[in-house]
Amino acid sequence: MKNNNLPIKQNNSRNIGIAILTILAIVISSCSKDDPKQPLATNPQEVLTTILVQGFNQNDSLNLNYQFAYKWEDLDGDGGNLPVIDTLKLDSGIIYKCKIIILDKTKTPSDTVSNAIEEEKNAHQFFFSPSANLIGKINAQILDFDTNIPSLPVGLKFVLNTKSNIGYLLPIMGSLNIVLSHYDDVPKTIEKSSESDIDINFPVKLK
Amino acid sequence: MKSFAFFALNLWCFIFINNAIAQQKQTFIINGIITDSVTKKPLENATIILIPSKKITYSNEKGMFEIANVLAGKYQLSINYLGYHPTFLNINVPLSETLKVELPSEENHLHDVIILTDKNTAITAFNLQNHIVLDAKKLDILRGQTMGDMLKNMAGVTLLNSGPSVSKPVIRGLHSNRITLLNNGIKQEGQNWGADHGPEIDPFAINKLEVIKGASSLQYGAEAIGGVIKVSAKDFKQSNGFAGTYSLSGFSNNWQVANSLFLEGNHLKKQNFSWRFQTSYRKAGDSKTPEYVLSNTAFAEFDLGTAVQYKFKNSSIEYSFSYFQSSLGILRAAHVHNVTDLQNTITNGKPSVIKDFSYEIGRPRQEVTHITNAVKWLYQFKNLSKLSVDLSQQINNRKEFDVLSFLSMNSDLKDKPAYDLTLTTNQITAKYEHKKYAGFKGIIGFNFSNQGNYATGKQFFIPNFISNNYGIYFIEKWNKKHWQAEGGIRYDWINFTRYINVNNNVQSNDLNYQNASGSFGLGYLVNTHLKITGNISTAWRAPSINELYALGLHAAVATYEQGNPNLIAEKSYNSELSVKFSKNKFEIDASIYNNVINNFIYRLPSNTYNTSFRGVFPVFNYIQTNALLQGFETSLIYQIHKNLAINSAYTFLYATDLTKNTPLIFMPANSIQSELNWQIPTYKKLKNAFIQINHQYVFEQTRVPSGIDFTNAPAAYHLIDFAFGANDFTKVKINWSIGMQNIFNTSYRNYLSRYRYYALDAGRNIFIKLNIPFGK
Repeated sequence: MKNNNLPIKQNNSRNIGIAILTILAIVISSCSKDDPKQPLATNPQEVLTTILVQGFNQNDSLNLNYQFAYKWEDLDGDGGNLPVIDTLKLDSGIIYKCKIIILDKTKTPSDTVSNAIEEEKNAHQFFFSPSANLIGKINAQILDFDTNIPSLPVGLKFVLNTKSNIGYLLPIMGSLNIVLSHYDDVPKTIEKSSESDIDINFPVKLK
Repeated sequence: MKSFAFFALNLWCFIFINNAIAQQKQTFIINGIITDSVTKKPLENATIILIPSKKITYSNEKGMFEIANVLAGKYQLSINYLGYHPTFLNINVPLSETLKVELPSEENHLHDVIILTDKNTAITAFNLQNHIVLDAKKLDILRGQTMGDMLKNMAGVTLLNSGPSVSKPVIRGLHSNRITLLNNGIKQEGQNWGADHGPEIDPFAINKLEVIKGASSLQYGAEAIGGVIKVSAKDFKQSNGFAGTYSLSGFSNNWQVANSLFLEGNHLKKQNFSWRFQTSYRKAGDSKTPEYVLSNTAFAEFDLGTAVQYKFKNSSIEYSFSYFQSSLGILRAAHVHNVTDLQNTITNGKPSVIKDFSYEIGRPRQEVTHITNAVKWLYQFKNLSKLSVDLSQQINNRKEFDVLSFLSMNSDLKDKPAYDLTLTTNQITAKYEHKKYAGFKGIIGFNFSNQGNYATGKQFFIPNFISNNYGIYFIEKWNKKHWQAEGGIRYDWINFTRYINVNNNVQSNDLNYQNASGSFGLGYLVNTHLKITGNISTAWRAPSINELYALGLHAAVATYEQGNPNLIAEKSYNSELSVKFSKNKFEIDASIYNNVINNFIYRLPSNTYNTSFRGVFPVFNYIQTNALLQGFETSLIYQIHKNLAINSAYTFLYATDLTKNTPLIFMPANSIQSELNWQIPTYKKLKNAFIQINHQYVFEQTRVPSGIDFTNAPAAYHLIDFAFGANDFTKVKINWSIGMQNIFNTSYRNYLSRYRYYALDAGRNIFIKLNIPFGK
């Protein structure tokens, strides 16, 4: 029947097919843009490495005995080595005037990233919460305010009032939790937002 | 790759014939007409062979053929047409009338059984595996919806949701890398491991969806422990001409508008050049629950796909290209910075950020593009054996943008994504399908896949890698009288190399995996009403990139994930027994399965915590256990009246962590789904009208391990959907449907939804859909 003319057409179509497949194989194998064998050194990213809490005695600002600069520092970022955290050693009966400075030491010179909080202060607020055994013994009060109407606290500047030591034994070991709430897409209030840009704990020794 | 799974199943249509014994010298004529089972267009030049006489003839331009001088007796007719399932028929000569054969195209599984008008021709066609199929007709009702909405309409498939914009299929409790998605014969490769990474496929281009089980699934790789979901586009046009469809849908819940233009053509004298083209666009705003707007769940998607096919006498070549692009908003409130924030949101019971409805796609968001190029070549030998070779390349790029913090405010990296992953996959598949020999029909095949991942972005989560996967397989199917059997074996070699940069020094680690998979099935047709099938199979899966090397913070669930490079491959041993009974107006299907997965990999909180300036995070490690998944699926169809049917399905899954003797976490809840379908052939001007009412009851997932999840499993719920539609509404040809999902605006949370911690699932949704076909 029609079988007679088959072999020629078969060969033709087979050859065309193989030719097209070969061309495509070359095209496919030759296009690769980013080589997985060459990973980037470190992906550039925004980080913070160091949170500094600096303070002095409000009523005796030049007394070096009451000046401090405690730090929370994690130089290698998430994971890896644990952060190095200083203990806040506070004397009772003092009103410490404090400020927070946040640094990115992966940059040279180190970048003061807390400046961005100052710029975006209408959408940020710090919260200072002493552990249960320090409630009433340490009181934090925010000194700086934003430009919202009415104006709301920011917390880059604050006082730590350690009251007086009447009625309890010293020293007391506790902690101070510092949270930076970000009000992104929600109006800023005096309550914490659901988005904590920073959430750290400093051990505290009240003596 | 042509639809070999269907093809393979279709082999069961083969019938053994007894030797035709010429009873008398009188000769007869066999007359027949061959048409496409869907378009009903005649098929010219189909090869018809009468066995055992070896008489060969071809159909004419009207699809008609004639074989003269045939003695009375039993014969077999072999009908072959390129791109269609080869079909064998048992016939009894003399025939009482003209044989009408409707040939199913290889792409079209729905009509895998040919339809005949001759009473003398008995066909014993039955599939060994119970197929779960959503064909074009069913999909038309779902047309315009997202891929997830289509998938969840398949029996036994549930969804893993990450908000209204992202969902992926779950089969019998397994998902992500444990399921293979086959898009027009090509294994879809994206960052499949991510629970919040949906498949990158244009839902408008889907003409058929099905779940493949058994030996056939061995063709598609070792990974698919859970199963293979096959997505098929519309067939190429087989008759000369030009046609197309414009589809438009609107949805009230998120004020989504979706539209698509499909064009197809077939040219040249012998109908040997055909093409299709499709472009789609959809834009959706924020979804709404009964109580509040799900802020930042808007999304947009653009797709473009085209394919051309040229047929030669004995071969065909096809080229296809597709481009997928989507931008997906991720529920704003689901971005939490630490566990305290997460727990506060759970306590509040509603999202922390609720704004007015908007089409804006803010942060966090995902931007994904997927490009596929493929060439498929098929050659059919004179003896009907076939050889096919497919080459493809996929480039998947995924960018994920996090919420900005004060750290980004002054940074020049502000607009840089947190993750930016480019995954390039090249695949070669070749297979040879041998002609039927001594009752056997089978395929031998080879796959090679090369994959490279390139990661940039501000954060590290998974590293660069290159993997090579070689696989060979061999599948045979056999059929004799009431018995059928199928068996297959596959062997894979996987080489996986990770590249990381440590202080400008590139370090690489090499991992190698190799193993066998296999499947064996047996079926017995007790009588015309009852069929019993059994299947045992083993499969394995190498650990995926995140399971091995993930390292970093997962913002949506406030966890710190840590991969485990010492993981070994998972191995599953599955056995399944199915019974199908159909009589008169009833059809009952029931399956019971027992799947043991050794070294099952899953994420579990360790006792360690990661301290960062953002807070304290539980560290999640990937660990291995032995898992047991046992389940039962049943469906009942009752044809109440000629035009009224009720259809009910129940799925039950009992999953156990054998090592700890506790329930396995994050397994889909059991459910009952019922559908009442009323077809109205003609009503006044309406044609093919239908009314459909769907009820779904999802049980509470009571089998959860204690003390691991952040919150209890959500309560059980009922959902009721309704749809009404028709064809040819006026003189303009148009198919339309209107309907409503979640009629009673029920508030519910799905256990498998990753955002159930933050928000309810979406509420009532009214839709309208139009399909306007044109051309011929």
